Amino acid sequence: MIYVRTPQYHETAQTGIVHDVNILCWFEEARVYYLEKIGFVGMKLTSSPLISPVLAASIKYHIPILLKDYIQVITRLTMYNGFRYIFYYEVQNRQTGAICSTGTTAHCFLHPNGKPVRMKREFPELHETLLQCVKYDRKEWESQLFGEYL
Amino acid sequence: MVIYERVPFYYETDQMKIIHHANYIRWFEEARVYYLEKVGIVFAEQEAKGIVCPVLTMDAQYKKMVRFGEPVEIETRLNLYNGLRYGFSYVVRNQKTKEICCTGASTHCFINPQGNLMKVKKEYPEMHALLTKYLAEDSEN
Repeated sequence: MIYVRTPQYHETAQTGIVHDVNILCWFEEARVYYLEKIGFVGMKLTSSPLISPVLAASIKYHIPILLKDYIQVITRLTMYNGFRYIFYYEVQNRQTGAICSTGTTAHCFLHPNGKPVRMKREFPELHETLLQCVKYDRKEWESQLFGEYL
Repeated sequence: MVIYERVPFYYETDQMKIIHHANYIRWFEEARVYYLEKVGIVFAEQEAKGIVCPVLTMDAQYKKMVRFGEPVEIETRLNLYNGLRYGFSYVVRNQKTKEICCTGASTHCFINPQGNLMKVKKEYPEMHALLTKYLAEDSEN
């Protein structure tokens, strides 16, 4: 899934590039956008039946991003096992096509009281959707990476 | 090893009533700048000379949630220096209970005023000496 974003002035640091922490924030935006698109409604509400904390994050910075750059975040769900899930992100310059940053984040689903959610039993439709998304995203990624060899 | 003490601010909390995960990355930066200043490398002075220190990689593992009103301490160690790159590791602990809330690591390099990767030993021997010294010190204890 593609999430389009323009860097904002307040995200820059004095070196003139977007500060590193903001790319992690874009990952979050892209992730929420993705989850909403596939049917997670109300993730932003305090009354949401699910919460989804971050367990781990890692980012690689390849090319600095300038304020004038047009950016898109390509988001892929790469793992889902009924409880945890992992997203992979690529921040791409829309004009040059260059990949500026890549990263992954790992998450789980919890009830608002902190108890783990058994997705398959409690949210079977979302569970099925997530499984389909992993399948689709992996296939698309594979064909992008190894297309000519497949 | 340098310990940086930090009180979470209200504006760092999110809807889940915990400190938002991106703020740990900001704390890592604060701790890193604090560390470098303690050992005599002042960021503002570096930038005035035209030397910048970009982040190359960053990762964090979130173990326990930190809430508003729970002061933390960030144990910062220099864990990598090879003449071009340097890296730090961070452990965020609750000041009272000493529970580990988050661990992380980052790697960096120096960009010289011409905009190229700096070969620290040749171009900035004082910095090379400092980093070598503190790398040895931090890996000992």
